Amino acid sequence: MELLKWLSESAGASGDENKISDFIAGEVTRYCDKVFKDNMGNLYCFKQGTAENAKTIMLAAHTDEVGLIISSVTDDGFLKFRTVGGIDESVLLAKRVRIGENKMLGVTGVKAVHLSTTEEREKKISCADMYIDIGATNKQEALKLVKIGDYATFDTEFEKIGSLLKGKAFDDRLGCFILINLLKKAHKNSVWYCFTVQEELGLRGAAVVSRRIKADAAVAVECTTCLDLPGVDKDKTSTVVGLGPALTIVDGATYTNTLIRTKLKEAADKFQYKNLAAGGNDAGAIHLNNIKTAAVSIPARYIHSPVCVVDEADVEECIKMLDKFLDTEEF
Amino acid sequence: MLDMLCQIPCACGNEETIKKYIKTKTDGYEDSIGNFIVSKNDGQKKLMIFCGIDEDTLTAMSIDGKKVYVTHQGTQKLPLGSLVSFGGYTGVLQAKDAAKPDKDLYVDMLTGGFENIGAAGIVCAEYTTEENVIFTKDAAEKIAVCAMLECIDLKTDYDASFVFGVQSKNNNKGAIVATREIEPDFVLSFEKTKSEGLTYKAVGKGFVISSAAKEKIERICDKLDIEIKPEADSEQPSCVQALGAPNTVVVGIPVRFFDEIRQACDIKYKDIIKKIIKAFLEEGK
Repeated sequence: MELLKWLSESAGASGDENKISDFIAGEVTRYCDKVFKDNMGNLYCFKQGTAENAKTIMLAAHTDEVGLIISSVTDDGFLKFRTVGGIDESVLLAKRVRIGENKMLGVTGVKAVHLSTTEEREKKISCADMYIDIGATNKQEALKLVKIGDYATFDTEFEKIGSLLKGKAFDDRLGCFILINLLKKAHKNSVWYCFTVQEELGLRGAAVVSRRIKADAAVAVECTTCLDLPGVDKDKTSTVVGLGPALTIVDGATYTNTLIRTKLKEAADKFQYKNLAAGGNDAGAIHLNNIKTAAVSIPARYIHSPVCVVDEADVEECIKMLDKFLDTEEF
Repeated sequence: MLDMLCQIPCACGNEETIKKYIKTKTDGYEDSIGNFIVSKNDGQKKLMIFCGIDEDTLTAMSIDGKKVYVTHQGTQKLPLGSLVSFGGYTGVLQAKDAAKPDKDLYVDMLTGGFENIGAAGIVCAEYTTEENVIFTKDAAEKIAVCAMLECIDLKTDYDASFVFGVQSKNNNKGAIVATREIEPDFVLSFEKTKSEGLTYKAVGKGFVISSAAKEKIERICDKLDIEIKPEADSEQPSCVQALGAPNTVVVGIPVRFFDEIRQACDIKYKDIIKKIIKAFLEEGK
């Protein structure tokens, strides 16, 4: 869990993934036949398969998380920002964030309830109306501590709550964690473990990776939406925590390949289907480069927010499923 | 052949049945997404002739007793109360809120026992012909596919690929994959249009026809005495952006009842399309 804790708590918003991929490269190089990065920052790790007629499989997990970017500084020393990736702006209020190389602590301010009007409280606030307070009293002081263009990510501690795990950036550091666990072992098939970048900005890294790598099959390993909460209709939950890794049939970006999806299902002891056709992931870019592609995801409540919740058992089931899948002989 | 094509089911993402029929007419191969491709020659210039073969589809996402919750691939109006077939299991299309007939769709199965999450369902809609008109799902595309099959053995100097494209109802994914793989110099494609009379796509969202493509289609149609006009309607769904090759001609085949589950199309367009395909193939220099 130390590895997952590091991955979850570390900062790496889209466009700022280097630290994450450098750490991963350091962790995995001794297990791989080839490790390199491309100009965009995608990390490629290759392991030759043990079988004579080994096929080539690509597993993809993205290293970036949703976050914020500092766009300007007010004369009073407050930081203005924009979102990086899809975030519902209502989750941004009154949060702790860490900014830049020095992990400067800041808070996203909100007017005290005593001072706001009913109209103000009912209006949805956009990030254009918000600011980050780093305790600076003027612009000059603020600019000694942070720079315009610095990224900010949520400051959330990774920990267990009951039987579940809580943290930030499970989307998709959980996918990275799963890939790192898998590549420590040899498999019959040759595998490209691809740690992609800028997924949250439109699957950009995966588009580059899948033009470079020729594979017989690919699986995007992700985190996905989960709305298994009181009052939600069963057909609207997307996924359910604790029912195993979720296979995508169709989402907003991909109609997954039936054969690959079937092979994943056959390799699973426990799985579920994602029941909503919303969202998308790296599979959306990969399959367009003539690679049979499927997606498997860990259900995560409150995804793309400062704190998400997953079931550790779902992660373990996913690792077991993919471990078996990587030894599949027929594609 | 046209009668057969109009009666064979062809769900988006699950086009096996119609491909099985096409394979009885010609040899080819499938790419990773399932496009069926017939390649001819090793010419210097590459020509891709493309048409989508799939229809609007309801994919089973979850099951609750006899209710199968579905997601709709495509843009046609699917009438509530329609019979939906999942190949052996049948049900009636419903919406959770009848006042919002395109949201929260489910199929109320006639019998129990259906368990196939991921299965593709299609609306049962009768195929009819009357005089020179066919009335069927994706009528224009059926006519184009028939024309392509009847032209497959024509001689050409092009490195020609006839692509029977899949997932046209899923944002034209098949077209994207085919173009990236084949890298054609020229694409000739067919789809339905609302306009009266034959058209070619001149302008669309993020697309303008190249001058070479415009010149070619106008010259060929002029030589064949075929009336064709440019279409600049950016609101109609089209495969034009998905194709994205340097020179792309998308010919619009006029239909009536454009948005309904079935359209009416004049059979005369089959011979017209065949003439255009033949002329393109003959130009393969």
